[in-house]
Amino acid sequence: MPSKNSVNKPKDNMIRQRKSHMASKRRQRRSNTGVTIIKTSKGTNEIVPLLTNNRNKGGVIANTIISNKKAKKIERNIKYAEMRRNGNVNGKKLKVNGVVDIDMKEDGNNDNNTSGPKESAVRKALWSIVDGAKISGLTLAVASGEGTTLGGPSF
Amino acid sequence: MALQISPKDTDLLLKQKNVLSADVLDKYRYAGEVTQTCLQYIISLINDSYHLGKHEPYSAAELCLLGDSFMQTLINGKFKKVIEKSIAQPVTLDVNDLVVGYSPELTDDEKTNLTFKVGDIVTINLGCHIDGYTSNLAHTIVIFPSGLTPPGPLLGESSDAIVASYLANETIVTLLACALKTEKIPNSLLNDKSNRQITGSIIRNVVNAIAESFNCTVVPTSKVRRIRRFLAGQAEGVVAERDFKGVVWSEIDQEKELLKRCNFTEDGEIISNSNELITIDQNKGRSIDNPDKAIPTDDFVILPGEVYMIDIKMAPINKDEPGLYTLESLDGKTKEGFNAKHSIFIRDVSMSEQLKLRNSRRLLSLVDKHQSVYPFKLSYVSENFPLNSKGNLIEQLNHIEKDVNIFKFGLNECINKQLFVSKAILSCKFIPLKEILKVPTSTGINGYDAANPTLPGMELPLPKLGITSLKLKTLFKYGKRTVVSRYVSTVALSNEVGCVRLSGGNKLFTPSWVHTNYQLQGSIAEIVNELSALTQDERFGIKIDECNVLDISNVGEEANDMEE
Repeated sequence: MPSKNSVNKPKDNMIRQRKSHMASKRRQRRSNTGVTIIKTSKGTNEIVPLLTNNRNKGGVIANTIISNKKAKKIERNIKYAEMRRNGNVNGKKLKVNGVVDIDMKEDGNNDNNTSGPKESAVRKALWSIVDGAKISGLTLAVASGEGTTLGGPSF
Repeated sequence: MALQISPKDTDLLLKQKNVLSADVLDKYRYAGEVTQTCLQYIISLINDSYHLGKHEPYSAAELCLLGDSFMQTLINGKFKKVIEKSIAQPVTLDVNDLVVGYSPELTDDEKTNLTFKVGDIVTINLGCHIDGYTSNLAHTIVIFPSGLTPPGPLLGESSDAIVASYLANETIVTLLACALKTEKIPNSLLNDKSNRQITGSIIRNVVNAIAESFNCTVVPTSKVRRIRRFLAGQAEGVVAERDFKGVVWSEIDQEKELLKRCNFTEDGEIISNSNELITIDQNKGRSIDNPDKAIPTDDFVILPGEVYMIDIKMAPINKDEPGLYTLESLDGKTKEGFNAKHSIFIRDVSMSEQLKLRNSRRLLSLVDKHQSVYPFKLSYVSENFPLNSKGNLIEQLNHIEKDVNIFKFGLNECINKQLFVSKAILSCKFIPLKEILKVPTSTGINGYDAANPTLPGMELPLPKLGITSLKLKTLFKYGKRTVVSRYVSTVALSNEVGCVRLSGGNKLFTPSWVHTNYQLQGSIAEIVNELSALTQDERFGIKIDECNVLDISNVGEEANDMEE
């Protein structure tokens, strides 16, 4: 191993390793604390209310204690994750027990969906042209009269 | 960054040298005559080989080289004392969807060196300058089946574009001539009757109206602009030009036009501030205002004593769906399909660099010695250019080909060190609007395409949608190639002599035989008729003096030799 001050110290490699190590640690931490991940609420406990989800009927003992609020949050998120998985992205079906997920916008036309939230007035207006052209065709100049001829029969 | 030039020099170079005196007009006129003659020569070459079938059809590279060589011979023929005079625009033969810049070298293979087919429309573009006074010219012709006469007019979309661009070009020439006699301007064109002058917005409206009545669109980079000594738009985008005066069409106008068409949102409600929707904030995204007047606006007046270049390109509108007409830059790198290699270069005189290869040093010194600020091709610096009519032609062509091959070794280094800037080869593409709307604007609106410079102020092609030119580039896979017709003329407006049309003109060059089902209608028909009536009668109307072709009795021999 070359010393810290060595000329041919593999600096790039070291930096890359350190960075990837830190990144993996961060990824790990994020997956542990993520709201849709139910690792922290795998079991039943007096502190955590029983989850309605069928998958968790295992009776596994949890070794982490989470707050009541967090538990509620997890429960709700599981429900919506399930619904998304089933493809019920439509706004009306989302309304369960009077609660609407704010993450899901009500988008009527699916293939007009732009991927960003920046659907501005301009975009909407321009979509109306595209849709209008599908229905009634483009507004074009009308061919009329004898038309126009240029030049004559010579090269 | 602006160059530091003393006020005295600025006054001399930009003002005094641009006064249209008899001397200056002579130079302009000769440049115009050279371009006219050269166009006639190239058309005769095409007619002989393609239409009359006198010999094997020339390929594009051969036509370009013969044309360049012919033009250079003519330029050398007069004004012996003038140091700087050369080709200002190498002969390019833009076929169908190509818009500018297609001018292959002899060394190109068959894939990139085209031979034209029946039904192709070919735009011949060329230009020359004498002492910096430039005349540019473009003319679109149709390749007919060979025979003594064409069997019939060309029909279809291409003919729509040809008719529209031809009429627009002729109308604007007359309109510019009206600037000398403002009382002749048709009243229906003027908003304010007391203030009789031709402005940029009048020109734009007339061209747009003509395009619309032939179901065409004005292709981006079309322009009607003032040219000055050494400032003929040869390095647009590379160098910003102070006091730019001209109307420029770009994707921004198409977006504006599309937005004008829809006053309804998806829900069927009228947008109350539809005016606000279509006005484009000229200053948005730009930290500077327009102190040097380098950003083009329509807010200018055409004055006597100026020279203008009219460059109108039109493409037929897709009948199936709305979309955007934009330009794709070909780079010759990918091998799939037709992808022409760059062959026209400009020396960026602000760069200097010590080169490593012997070949590149030699090329650079030759270019610095023989070429000026105008674009050039590698064949121009060959010893055998221009071709000598007395020598063996085949041998000379072989020599040029060999020289170009050697220069190519040095070319890469010159380009990499940014000593040379290659001129883009642009192809017109139609991109459906729905594909554009599906694209998010996540990259931010300030990304611009450094490889394809635009005029200042036009870096962002779709400012309302916030789509950058880099983003637009990714959409070319949905694009469809569209034919483009192009006409360019140069017009000098002299107070003493009147309007001198340096290049183009219907007396010398009748357009190819085409027929379209559309015709001018409504107010624009009246305006065009009124303007064309003005040019018919010199006594009551406007006189447009067209430059003639030169007497080429001695050069003509050369032309005959070349054909053999």
